[in-house]
Amino acid sequence: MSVKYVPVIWNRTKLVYDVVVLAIVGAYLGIYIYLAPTFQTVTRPIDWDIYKAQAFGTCVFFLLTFILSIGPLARLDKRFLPLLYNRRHLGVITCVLAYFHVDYILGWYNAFSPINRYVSVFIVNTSFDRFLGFPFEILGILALLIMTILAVTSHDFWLHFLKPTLWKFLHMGIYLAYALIIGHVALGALQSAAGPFMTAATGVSLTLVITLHLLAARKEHLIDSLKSTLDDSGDWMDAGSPEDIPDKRARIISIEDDERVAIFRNGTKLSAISNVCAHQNGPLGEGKIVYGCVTCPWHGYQYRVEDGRSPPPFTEKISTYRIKLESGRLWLNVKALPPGTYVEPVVSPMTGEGS
Amino acid sequence: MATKKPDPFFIGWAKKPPKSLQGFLFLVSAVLIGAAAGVAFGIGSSVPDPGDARFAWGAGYQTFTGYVDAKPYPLLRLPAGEGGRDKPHAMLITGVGKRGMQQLAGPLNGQPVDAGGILLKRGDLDMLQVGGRVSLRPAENPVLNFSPAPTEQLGRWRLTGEICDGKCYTGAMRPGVGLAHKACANFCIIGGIPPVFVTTAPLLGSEFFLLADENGEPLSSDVEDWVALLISLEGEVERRDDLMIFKVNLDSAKQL
Amino acid sequence: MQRAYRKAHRTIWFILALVLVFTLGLALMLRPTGTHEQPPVPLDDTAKSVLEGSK
Repeated sequence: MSVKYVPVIWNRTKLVYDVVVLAIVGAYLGIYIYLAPTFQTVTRPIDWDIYKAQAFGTCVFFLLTFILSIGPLARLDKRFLPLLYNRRHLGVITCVLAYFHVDYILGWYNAFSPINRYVSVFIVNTSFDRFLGFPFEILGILALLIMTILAVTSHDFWLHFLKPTLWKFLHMGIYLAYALIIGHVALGALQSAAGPFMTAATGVSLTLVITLHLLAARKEHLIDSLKSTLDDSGDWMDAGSPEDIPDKRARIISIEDDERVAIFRNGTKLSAISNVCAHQNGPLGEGKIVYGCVTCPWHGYQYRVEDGRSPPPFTEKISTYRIKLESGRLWLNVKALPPGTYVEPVVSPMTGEGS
Repeated sequence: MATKKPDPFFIGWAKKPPKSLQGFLFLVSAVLIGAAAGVAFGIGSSVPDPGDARFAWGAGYQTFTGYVDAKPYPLLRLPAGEGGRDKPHAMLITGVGKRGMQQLAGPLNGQPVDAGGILLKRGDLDMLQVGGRVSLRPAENPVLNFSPAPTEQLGRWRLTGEICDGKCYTGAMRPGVGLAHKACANFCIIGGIPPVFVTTAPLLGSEFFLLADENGEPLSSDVEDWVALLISLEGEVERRDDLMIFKVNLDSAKQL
Repeated sequence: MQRAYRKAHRTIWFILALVLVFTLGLALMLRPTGTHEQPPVPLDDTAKSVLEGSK
């Protein structure tokens, strides 16, 4: 939650997160470059520059696999949410490592020649009509271009400038980048330079990413297709029994062809707000009321549950909804109120003794 | 009713993650670091053998005296005894970096020459990277009683293998073959380094063939589309001393 | 908007699942593994006599 833009806001979680990420990267590169060679069965070692390019390239691929697994993992099991919190730093680190990979390749394969090494990537292999033999380097370059754009626009400044919807659409570009990198690896390294372990690890990575995304997609689809009954007016939707909502937590209601709504319980009081966080469209209904405010599970943005406004000095606001209690059941008015509209909480006497 | 079980909730800006999550996060971090180490070790230790290709730096700067053939690509014809071999030897030559020797070899075609440089070696194969003090020059003391043997015709063949650039394959890079190396091989071939055909099975004991077009001239740039792929090629095979030359029509190339 | 976003997400991953598994599978299948190895084939009389002579 920022009121002014600073290059990077640090806190303890981010520091610990980055230390763990650097430990992962350090372990990978250190062991690949310095330990593994002593166990190779080779007549002579692979050229040092090429070997380092392999180390950085494969590291980027597996980091990207990990980055793409975090989203669906967190959807499937909330305990993984902390991995999501600082995912942007992970992305930027991955992008930087990719540049090392490119630098080693260009400084070796594309060097020692009168042809300019940067131009050469596009002119030296022109077998665009082939599958095997396709200039796979260009797939890598396109992926790097996407990763660079995403790294540069990863700051919250761009998130606010582009608005969450456009920003998230732009950052879905990472899926395209991953697809390009799969092609880059399949048509390059896996054709000759990789051993059986690398081939297997690539297959496992792709299977993992796809399986997790399809599982998460199925779960979301099931939530979206839950049907609740509307009353005769068509404005009020049955939102179930208030007693089933845990204290400080919410029930998420899917509204036909629209956003989801989160009905929060704070002691005996019930309030309904949009399920969509103003920051990155995070699922507020999976958040919790902390210090009297609904707290987003993704990045901890907070909103007062009665009016959907962030407490000062912050200025974010989201839509609120009206609810009513009729003979022990909650009813939700499906028409969103303008963001920041105050709605008096509904008091449910039956939930009084909650935890 | 609301449950009494702990309800941990992670907030990034909070001082610490909830106690009940700390163990899990520690475990995840440990698993990830362990996985990174394991995968790095698995991949790094199982890389395919790039072969015994190398610059023979240990042998130092070497000078050879023989004749030079400029076509299809510059090569030295060395008499028996030169370079420690007991039979005449035909040795490919290259410039420094990704450059061929056509400019220097062209005017000296068929003449006695001195050539100096660093040897590249891969098993029995060798190539001379010409440069330095001697470079390639008319021979100061031509070998007496030696003229290269005539070319031996071995008929028309269909061979299966991979087109590589002669220099990287012979020793300049490890690995110097395969699709991951294709751009580099194209670089070399564009620069005038001889394309060679490395076959999957030997012909008369040789798996290494210098490529030429049907007229014994350098190949056109069309060859770049076929580099690093497993292909079959048809053409005349001839032998100069111990070097096989495969004069091919690229239209006969088939990807396997 | 969110519903559309989730739907787009699902569609993207269905397509990616098909395309990427196909691409990786095809690339691995076409990989030269040595099963394509063929001995030299003589195509004229000179070549055949060379082959005979070498046996």
